[in-house]
Amino acid sequence: MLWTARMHIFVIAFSIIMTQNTLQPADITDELLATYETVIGLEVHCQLLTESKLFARDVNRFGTEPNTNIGPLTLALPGTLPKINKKAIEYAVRLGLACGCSISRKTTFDRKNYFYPDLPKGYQISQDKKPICENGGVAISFKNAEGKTTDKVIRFHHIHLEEDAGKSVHEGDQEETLLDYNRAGTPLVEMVSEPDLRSAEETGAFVTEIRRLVRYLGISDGNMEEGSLRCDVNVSVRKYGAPEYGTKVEIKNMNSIRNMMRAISFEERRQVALVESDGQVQQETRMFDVDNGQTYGMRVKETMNDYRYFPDPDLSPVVISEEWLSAITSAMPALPHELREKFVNQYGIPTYDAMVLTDTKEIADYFEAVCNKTPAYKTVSNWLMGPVKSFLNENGGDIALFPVSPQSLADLIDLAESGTVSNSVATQKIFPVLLAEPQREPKEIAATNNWLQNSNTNELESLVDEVINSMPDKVAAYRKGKKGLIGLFVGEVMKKSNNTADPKLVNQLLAKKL
Amino acid sequence: MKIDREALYKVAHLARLDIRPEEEDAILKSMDSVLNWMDQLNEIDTEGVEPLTHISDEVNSWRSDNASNTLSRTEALANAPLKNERYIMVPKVIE
Repeated sequence: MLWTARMHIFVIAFSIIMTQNTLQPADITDELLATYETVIGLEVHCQLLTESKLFARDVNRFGTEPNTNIGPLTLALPGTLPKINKKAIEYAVRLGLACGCSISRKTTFDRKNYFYPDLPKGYQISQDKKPICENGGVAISFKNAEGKTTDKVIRFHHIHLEEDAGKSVHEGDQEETLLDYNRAGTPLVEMVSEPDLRSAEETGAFVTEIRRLVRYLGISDGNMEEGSLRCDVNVSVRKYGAPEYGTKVEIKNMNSIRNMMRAISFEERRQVALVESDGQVQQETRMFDVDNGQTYGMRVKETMNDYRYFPDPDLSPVVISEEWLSAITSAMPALPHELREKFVNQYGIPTYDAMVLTDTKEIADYFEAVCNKTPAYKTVSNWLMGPVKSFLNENGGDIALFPVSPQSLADLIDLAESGTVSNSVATQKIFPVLLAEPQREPKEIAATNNWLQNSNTNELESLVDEVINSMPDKVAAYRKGKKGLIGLFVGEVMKKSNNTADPKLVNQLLAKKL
Repeated sequence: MKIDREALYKVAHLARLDIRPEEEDAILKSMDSVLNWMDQLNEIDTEGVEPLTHISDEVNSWRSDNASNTLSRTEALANAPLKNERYIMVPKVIE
């Protein structure tokens, strides 16, 4: 008896130890997770929208036939020499200025040496000792764990220029790795952040802001799915208050901001599970699996990176003169935060509206174009965030596909503002016609369909009388105190007027007569 | 000796060089003399001296952003030991 009980206790104790040793990410409760701090730093690579490559004349374009944009330099043929693309320097400076970086007035290129089939030269031309931009950062706004909107600045360590590698392609049962060198040598800026990020939400907001920024600056299309914006995410965890960072893991292979946030959420739980089980986080590179939302280690032999950087003797330093820097500065396009401030101050729209309307440069430009044609700024904002946005959502979200010109939309808004047509006629009747036949004028559409608002008091008065006379019971009930019936009377008058009556006027007339 | 066999083979591997055993001693000796010379250079006080990254004074040897392709795909792939009509092929690099 005693023996069995002891055995039983032993089994329980043993199984507790076993469970502790094998904590899974899913076992980590939110309460436990909340006792850990996640520390995140990013390396964001962004492809620059130049015509040619960083050091060669080859065409820089996504989605062309494999191996058609590859010249002698890209193939690393003997005797070829790189020559820097001035536009790429300018774009990097533009980004640096937008992020408040200090711009290196003399910047140099270094060779990063390693052998891999997607790198024909056996080294990547990058920047190590003197990158083009240092420090600076990006302001983000995000919802914290309590759901409160929080502002924060994420600092950059530096931004540097480098050439991209080619692409390895694996096709079905093909025995070999296929190589497409179209991308080899195309220009990238790499933004290296300080480990300032603390959650998936913050990181999502950070990358969203960077994507918005490079699009505003016109230097990249920031398309994560096509890989023109790629993030390597360094994640570690530590108990709150711990003086040292935990061991970090680098995650790659995420093709959307959402997937990047999923990867971080999984990885923080995985690392906490390891630490809680008295295990060790391995310093390694992990990939994200879209299908199961997990990260997995790559089965490659981890040799210590030894890139043996040294200054590329084929490339002379770049010196950015005072004149050139001020020319780039004065040609800077307006930035999202500048437009937000302008929209609030100049057009008097709420901060929330300004946030939504500066989401993309195209929407912001459209808003300004309409505001140049009508003074009803807040109404313009309502239209863009309401009916126009609905149309865009149904049609792929691109304002370039919105058929109505700023002038037409301004005319329509003026019609409604002046009371020439009612708001509901403007949004529900004229707007759909305008979408289908954008070349027509809003006023002509309203007139042709007899949608002009009726503000003729005499005419309306007789309609009001008709309605009152036709419903004696309801009128009596109303007079006894069933005031809610007013809506019914208004509705009847509107119906009789073919929806052209001015509802405000109808209300006034009814109130007087009843 | 400032360099040992292990370091030699590590450097050789990073540069993808094959070293024959009979070459080892000579290469070790030669590398050692290079490193000794580096040590001599290191004795010089370079406080306040700009790093010399390039021998020439040339700067801003850049070009404007004009694109043109100079090789056809057939020409570009001509020297590849292994290829199909569209790609250069190499032994599989991932499992």
